[in-house]
Amino acid sequence: MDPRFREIAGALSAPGWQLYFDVSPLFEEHWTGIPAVAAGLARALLDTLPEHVHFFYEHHLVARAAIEEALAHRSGLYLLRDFFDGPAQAGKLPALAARTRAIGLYPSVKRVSQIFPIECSIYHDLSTLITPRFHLLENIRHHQKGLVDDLRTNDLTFGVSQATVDDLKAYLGAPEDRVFVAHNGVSWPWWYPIEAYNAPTPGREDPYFLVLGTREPRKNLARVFELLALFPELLATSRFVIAGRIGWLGEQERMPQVLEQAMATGRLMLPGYVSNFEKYVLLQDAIATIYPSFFEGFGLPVLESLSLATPVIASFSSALPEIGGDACFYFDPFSVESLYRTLRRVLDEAPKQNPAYRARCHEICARFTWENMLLAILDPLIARLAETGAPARARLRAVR
Amino acid sequence: MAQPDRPARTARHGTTRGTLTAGVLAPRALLLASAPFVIADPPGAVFPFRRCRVRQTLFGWEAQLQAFAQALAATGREVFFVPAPEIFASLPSFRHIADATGWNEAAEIVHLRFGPACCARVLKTARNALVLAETMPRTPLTPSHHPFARGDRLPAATERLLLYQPLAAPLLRIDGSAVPCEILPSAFSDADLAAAAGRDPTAETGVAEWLVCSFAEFDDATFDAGERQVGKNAARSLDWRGARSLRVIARERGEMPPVQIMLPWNLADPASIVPDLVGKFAGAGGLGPGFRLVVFPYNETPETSAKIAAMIAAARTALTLHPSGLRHFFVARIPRLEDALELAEWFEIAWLEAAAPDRWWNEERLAALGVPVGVIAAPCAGEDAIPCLAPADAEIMLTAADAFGERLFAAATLSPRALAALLANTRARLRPAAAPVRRRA
Repeated sequence: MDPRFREIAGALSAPGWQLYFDVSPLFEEHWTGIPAVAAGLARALLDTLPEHVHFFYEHHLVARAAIEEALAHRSGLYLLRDFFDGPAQAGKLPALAARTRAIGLYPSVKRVSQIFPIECSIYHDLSTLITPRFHLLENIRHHQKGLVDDLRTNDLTFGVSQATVDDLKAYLGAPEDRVFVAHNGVSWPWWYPIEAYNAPTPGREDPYFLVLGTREPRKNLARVFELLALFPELLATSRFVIAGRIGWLGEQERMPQVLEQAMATGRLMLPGYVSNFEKYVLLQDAIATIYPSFFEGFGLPVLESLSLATPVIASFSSALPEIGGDACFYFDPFSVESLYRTLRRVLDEAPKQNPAYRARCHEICARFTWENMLLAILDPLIARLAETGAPARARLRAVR
Repeated sequence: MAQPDRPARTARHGTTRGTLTAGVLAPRALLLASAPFVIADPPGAVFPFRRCRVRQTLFGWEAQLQAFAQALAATGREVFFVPAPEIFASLPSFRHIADATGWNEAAEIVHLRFGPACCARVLKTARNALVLAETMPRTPLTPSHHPFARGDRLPAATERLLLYQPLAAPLLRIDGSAVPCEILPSAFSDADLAAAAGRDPTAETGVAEWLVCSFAEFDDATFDAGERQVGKNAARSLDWRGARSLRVIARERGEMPPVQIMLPWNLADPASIVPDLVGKFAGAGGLGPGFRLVVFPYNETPETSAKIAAMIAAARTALTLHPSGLRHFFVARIPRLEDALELAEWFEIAWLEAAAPDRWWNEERLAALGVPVGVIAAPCAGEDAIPCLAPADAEIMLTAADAFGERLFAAATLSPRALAALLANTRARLRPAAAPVRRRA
């Protein structure tokens, strides 16, 4: 554990501050994207600040054991059931009068806000504001509810990338001194390498490219389909695996008929949602992953791929180059020719076989840990607490 | 074609008449433009705007961008189009801009955003200017969580407003600060028309190649794909060919042909009364044999284009018992600018909604083409009442459910009684159809 956590624990303990972590994203059954980030942060909080962290949903406390169990399962399926059936509930949040030293930490949109004297939330992207064409109206409305209000009611706001922070400033005028970058982390359970090594996986020798992500228009899968339709020789030498749950507006990402033959012969595979372990194995064995997205606040699959030294062919869009650095191979997300050229380059250079490239991937990923993300949140928070202890009490009186 | 520069107006809301070269259009700057429309199969993330094939060359954002690019082309400047300005945030993306445009990194990038204020976007690290044809936003009656839904706020990084006309009310950044404004010279709204008029007439086919069909003939899929096969479609509308033939023959006989009326329809305006007016005409049994109404939808996006089919479906339902009435209503696009020059030959008048946010822009474009304009549904009371063919005598509530939330708008409109007066007043205003612009030149 980073020694700075001890200092932070000390800074929280003396005045009696407690952290309340909103677990609403963890109620999802499949943890990808925002739920995966919430899980990473929850784990890091339990490991580093167990004496100071509590979990809540709206106005209720959530039992720590239930969170531990959900983190072990990597799914919120039972957490959701147990919370609404009762066993995972741990009573109401402390009364307002007893909340004067409480900090609300929201890993995404605030379901209820202005209930703690100090509140912080994380913005993952402004996609519903900037690229609404990629979203369903209900999704847009859900995110827009807190878009401005969360920023207004936060003491500190965090973006998962510099690109997201810049969007917060450029569109919503977020004040420079109250918005910070907290990059997501990447981690795999320690037993995955062992289990993957021993797993019987017939056909591992057949090389493949992996496309990972929810099937929705923002992910730009249509460009990959276009690539395979225009350059069918790629399918002759490599398989293509497109893994991820079916999202929304799927009609915009429909596979062209010309690729049905490739599907029938197993050269193109769409396994749908894959478990975390299956994802690990798929990433580990791929020649490279392709991430053609039009817009990303972070791009977690890029980091997951690099963490296993699997090269990434990524669009140069939004936050992706910030995360992938010089370990990714970038292309223009609007140009199938650009994607083809980049893919050929990866085939020719075979970076995965290059020890220097693998070392570079590990070097990049070492920066992105959940503990580092938590530190990026807690460091400015502690500084803020030192400045605003008294105003916080006054604000709680106003909330009342 | 080019008109004298606009007369100086009272500086309002920080509007100045500064020279553009001293402002955002510095001579060495790289000009990147974006707009809410969607280009089918764009060749890349950055490409010269001249490679864009627009759907509607006469009205809306596409036309504004086209005129703007042409005005700059006359000075040797090139405008590049970026379909998604939001993707540029890091070094590889800016390297791509340099590769695609020859941009020298020492020069600044100016991002020109076209379209309404509520759809403003910024390109990070660039100087961002919004080019605005709307002089007033449509303000919803209902609140929305969307920070820009009211149309009176802009993203914090908007550095400047380039206007065709002074605003009726100030536009502020989201933090409440004022945005410096500049009025564009008139060349920026008609340079494309002037250039088209000057092109070699021998290159013409002699047949107007707009995409047009009657409400009876309309097929959503064909109309949507129309700009890719415009030549074929243009001649295939039997109803339109019939309307044209009728005019030619009537003129030969010295008779009054049916009055052909243009009705521009801003699809991005949630409170446009065009569907209401068409619905009322259809509900009243049609226009009658003496009139043809051609609706020109513009500002089409994947989100707005369904409105065309919905309006026509409603008219078809209303005219179930009199289907021949559908042959008097048309819907049209003009993807080729040269064809716009012929409009004065085919239309006696254009009706413009008084409350349309971009009415002034449309008026100016139509005036440049020699098409007379009649304003309709202006509020009747008050000192600022606009002289119009038929003042508003009714109000409707219109709802919109889109990315800006569920919104309710009140719009001044015309009752069926006022529509009858509108037709009578239109006929009274008639004059012999003008010669096409090119011939006059």
